[in-house]
Amino acid sequence: MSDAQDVTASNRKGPDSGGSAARMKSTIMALGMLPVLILLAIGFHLMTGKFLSVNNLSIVMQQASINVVLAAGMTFVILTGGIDLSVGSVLAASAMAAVSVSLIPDWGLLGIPAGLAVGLVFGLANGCLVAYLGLPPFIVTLGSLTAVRGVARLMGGDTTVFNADLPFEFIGNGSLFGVPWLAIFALTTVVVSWFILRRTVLGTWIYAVGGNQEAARLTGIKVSLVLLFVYAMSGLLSGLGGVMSAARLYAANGLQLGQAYELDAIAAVILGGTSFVGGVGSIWGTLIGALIIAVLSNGLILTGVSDIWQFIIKGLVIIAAVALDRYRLKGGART
Amino acid sequence: MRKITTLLTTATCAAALAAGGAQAQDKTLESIGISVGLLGNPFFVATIKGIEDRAKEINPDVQVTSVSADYDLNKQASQIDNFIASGVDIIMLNAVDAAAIAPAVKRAKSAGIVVAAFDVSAPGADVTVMTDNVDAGRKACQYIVDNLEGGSGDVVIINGPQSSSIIDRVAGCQEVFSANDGINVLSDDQNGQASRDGGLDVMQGILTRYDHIDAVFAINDPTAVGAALAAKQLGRDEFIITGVDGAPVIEDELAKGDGSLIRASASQDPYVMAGEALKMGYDMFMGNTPETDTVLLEPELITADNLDGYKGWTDPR
Repeated sequence: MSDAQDVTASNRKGPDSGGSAARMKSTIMALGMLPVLILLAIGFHLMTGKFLSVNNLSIVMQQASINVVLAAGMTFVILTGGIDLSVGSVLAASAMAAVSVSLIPDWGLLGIPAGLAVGLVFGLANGCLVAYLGLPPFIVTLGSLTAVRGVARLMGGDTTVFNADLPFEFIGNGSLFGVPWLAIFALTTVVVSWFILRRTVLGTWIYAVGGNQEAARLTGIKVSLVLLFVYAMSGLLSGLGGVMSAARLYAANGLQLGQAYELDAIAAVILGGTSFVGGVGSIWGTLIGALIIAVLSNGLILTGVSDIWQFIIKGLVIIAAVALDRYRLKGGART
Repeated sequence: MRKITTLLTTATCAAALAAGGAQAQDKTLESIGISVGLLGNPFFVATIKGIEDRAKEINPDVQVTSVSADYDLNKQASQIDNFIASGVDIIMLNAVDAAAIAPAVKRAKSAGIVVAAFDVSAPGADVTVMTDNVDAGRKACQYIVDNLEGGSGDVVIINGPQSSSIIDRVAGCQEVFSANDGINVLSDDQNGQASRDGGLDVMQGILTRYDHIDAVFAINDPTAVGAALAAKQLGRDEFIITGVDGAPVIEDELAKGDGSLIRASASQDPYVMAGEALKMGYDMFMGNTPETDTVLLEPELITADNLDGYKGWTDPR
């Protein structure tokens, strides 16, 4: 599934291993968390008889889509060994901007670029502080988590802004040939991210910076530029998440929207097998990680598990999935 | 309605008595501190206006300080300590936690400050004015029973964070449902987070799980709107939704009549509620213990039919 994992797998195989066991092992590695996702889906279907219906799968895709977009941005950042804790707050600010601008008569569609621009600006601000002032990403984005939340509340005077006639509501509620637009946006984001990471020089640089920042600098890679890019990307995608969320709810609220979204995004990236210290990981893994989280949330409601137990089960499944992964890759170089 | 009128009359009499006592003690109301769950919520904007208007009637120069606790208990406790330090006469408290705020209330009272709770009870408060939330749940769910064919059908309760007001609403609703044999509650333990997106997510799951639903009771209006959005996205319209609050957003929905799945909301009147709490708190301040220290305001069920006469949260007073 991921090129990076393939490399690790072939390294470990050694020159004289060509047996079926080794081949099997390498296939399992390439699949990553996909089996866990499939097992969960089948399990929920057996319990409810409804999980794998077209209708429900479309709901799962919709519910996963915003987290997929945020987690894609987060993948860029974590690949460089950084972290972006501000995505939930940036999403709230962008959604506020998108809905507020959409209220302008005849120019309501400008809400989309407005939301994206707000996200990009906050992403660039994070990036500048990390790349050019050399501040630790955790501290910078912890600060912007709080500060941007304040900005989001300020934008609506701390109230909920509504627009019942949102001009871009199709993003949240429409579908194209039966596929929800939200899911199309999310998949497009994943494909574009994959292209940048795997088919451009910039992508190689991102992996190199995450692998060893000093070595990357010595080989002539502009590390600051790479860092600026990943945080800007994460901000821009949070902005997209904000626009999607606004379109889905016809409303935005500076305080409540996007609370703890950063944790879901980080969980998706880590479930997807991306290393927390950077340099190893793939965007497809992130997609599967985000889908696992969405399947859990949806499936537990479908089976009628009470809210309290949903928390406990979700947490345990995430830990179990990563533990399984670690066991599977025993001896691997993952952190 | 009669209950409210009686209560108001009692309170007015008490206020008159208090005015008589005031001259003797020569006390004036100089400053009031208000701490609410979330300042930006239109509900609390209305409560603050209610308090300010009533307070200005007592003393036009009264100083009113309002702060937002952002639903954070620690923050609210420090705000109360700040009010104690600045020596306010009355603290108007919308507790973020009906039990855990007790020590802070105790500190304020031992500093000689009157504590008036509104919307949410607070242990040890001198006076309390709240919506009768059990009755709100009862009314919203009675509407469901009355509007289902033969008074029977499959219903869903979308629950929320377990605060006292939400627990009461669900209890009132379940009281009505269990009294009607034909009502079958499919689900009552899903948490819609009392928000639009929470209600949307939970309702999508519930709609997938059940092929046919007759009615939904949402514990507040944002949850009801989220549930209606979920139904719209899935093309389902076989059921009706009721909520609690009477928020501005629900007025728009109810105005659509049959065009919206949301048909009724048991409304609260934050302006009257908080103003009443201040008046009772002022009585205490003047040394007159009111006859009753807890007043429950009766919620009014609003539907498309009586919407015109409804005085909403943001309407001018």
